Amino acid sequence: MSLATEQEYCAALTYEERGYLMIEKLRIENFRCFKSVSIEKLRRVNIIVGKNASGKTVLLESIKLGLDGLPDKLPWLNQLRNMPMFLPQNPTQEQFQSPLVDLFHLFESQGEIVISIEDSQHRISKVRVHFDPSKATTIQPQVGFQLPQMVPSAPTTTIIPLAFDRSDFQGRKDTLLVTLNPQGLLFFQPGKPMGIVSGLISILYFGGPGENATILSQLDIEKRSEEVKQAIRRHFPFISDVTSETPAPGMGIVYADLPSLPRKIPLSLLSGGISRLFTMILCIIQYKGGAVLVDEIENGIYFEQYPMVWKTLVDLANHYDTQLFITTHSLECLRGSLDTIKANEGDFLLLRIEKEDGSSKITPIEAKFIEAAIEQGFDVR
Amino acid sequence: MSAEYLLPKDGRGILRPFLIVCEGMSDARFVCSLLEHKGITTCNVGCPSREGLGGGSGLDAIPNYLLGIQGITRGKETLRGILIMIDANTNPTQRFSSMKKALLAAEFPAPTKAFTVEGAPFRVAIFLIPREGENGTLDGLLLEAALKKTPRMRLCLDNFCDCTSAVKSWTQNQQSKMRLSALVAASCQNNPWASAAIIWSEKGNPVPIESECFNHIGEFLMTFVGP
Repeated sequence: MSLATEQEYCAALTYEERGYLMIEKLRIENFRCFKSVSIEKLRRVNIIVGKNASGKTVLLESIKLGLDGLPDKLPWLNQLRNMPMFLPQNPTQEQFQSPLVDLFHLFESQGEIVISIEDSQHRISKVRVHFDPSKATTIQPQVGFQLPQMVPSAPTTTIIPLAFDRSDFQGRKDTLLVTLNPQGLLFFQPGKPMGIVSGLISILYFGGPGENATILSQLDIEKRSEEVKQAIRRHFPFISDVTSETPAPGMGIVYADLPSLPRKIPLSLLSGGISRLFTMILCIIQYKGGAVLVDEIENGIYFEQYPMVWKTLVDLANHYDTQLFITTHSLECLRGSLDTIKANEGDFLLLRIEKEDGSSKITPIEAKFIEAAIEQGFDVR
Repeated sequence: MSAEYLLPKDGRGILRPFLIVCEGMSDARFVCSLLEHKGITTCNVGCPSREGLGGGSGLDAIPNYLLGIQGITRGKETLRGILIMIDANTNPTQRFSSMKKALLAAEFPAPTKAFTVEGAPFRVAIFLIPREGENGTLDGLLLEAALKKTPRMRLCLDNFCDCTSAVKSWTQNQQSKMRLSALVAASCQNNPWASAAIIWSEKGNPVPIESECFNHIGEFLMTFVGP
């Protein structure tokens, strides 16, 4: 059988013939709104829909937690939800646990969170999060900046740390803790991520200060930045170039060059939407072979751009074996994906999340059904 | 109001346990009216339409429509059965086969023969209008019901057809459609151009939904949604 075009060839590939997927199966136990869910045959592009508070962002968080397995990502995740992780100095065990119990389903912190990920080579990465009494530490409370020996009479506090028992795709195991440091402050034990996963690109976060500039510089050095620039030019022809500049020492900023302007302009000042799309494109390349997480993709993007945005992201994701997990509330945005879904049917999966009796459940829906539903005018959100 | 039977496309999802799939809006509105007349409240009625993004309409679009039903994410667990109700036209055997194939392609179970309700817990059936063992269309059946109510119009319509040179060479189905349209136009003073899709809400509608011509369909619907 001869296949006329590359598009037809890609559409004809079976599920198994497609490139590497870091997350083919995902199991979440006891994490936030998920009591127990398991999803199989995840795809290159996984679109997540559901009502507010159904658990869409939690699914992204669970992927972040599952692939990073790093305790220090907890305050970062909270910050994304505009919820700082705050503790008084020298907290009691109850105070110590307070911001951490939110992680557990129904706040039942005596249980354990398990996030297990199987890749397309059937290797498993797993993180188990639980309060571990065997690693309890006794802290001598301190006042202000006094050294411990200056308040000998103060009662000690026993802290049961939150343990991250990790086992990565290579089978390497370790445990990282969330505990208190000798100064009585929250301490997140550092470690290496277990997999490759981007931050959670959202309306509140699209690359930290300087982060995008650093990545763009790196791609420039590796002579790989042209792909990013081309994509931006394709979407926004009024931008002739994007460059990483250092207007002040230690301050990398991505600038856009518009022929209509006398000087370059920081991309984030030009448009939040363009900046977000730029971040997505960068992340797909930067987190090659891993997963990129996008919360509410439609934000800041003009509706006419949707079809091209999907095409750009999917083409790049296929090229770099990067998996996309994208939430959306926008029917217009989903309809904009139709042509790209048709051309890459085997690469798409829709995950609908619904909450029932306090727990969220996930229903996967194959691309061929979504495609037809959109064609027939059904609302698939 | 019989329009409440129509399967919503606005995101409310599947609201009732049984779905009746028709070829187009005319057929769907007839089924809605019949369901209402029979007091059956457990069905939604749907059909392919041009409202979507290229999914097509009519009989040929039913396979795509069935795939689309699987893509409705909300309330899917509510669905307990699908009945396809289409015209037998001139080849009921071929029509049954194509609908059976469409059901299977959309990963629904399919009945082994027409006019039977099969499957448990998920029911499926294919009904070919007008009735078992006959070729024809819904338009023909509607015309039959209308002429049963006002038989004197039969001769008038025959005469009208005789007066037009072209009509005599049309197929039986085309003639039925033309005769029904003419009858509707002459009956609905406020909306002489009313189509079969909207006659059910028109004053002067010449087709009585309570006609015994529809009894066999009503009985089949009762069986389909029955215990």
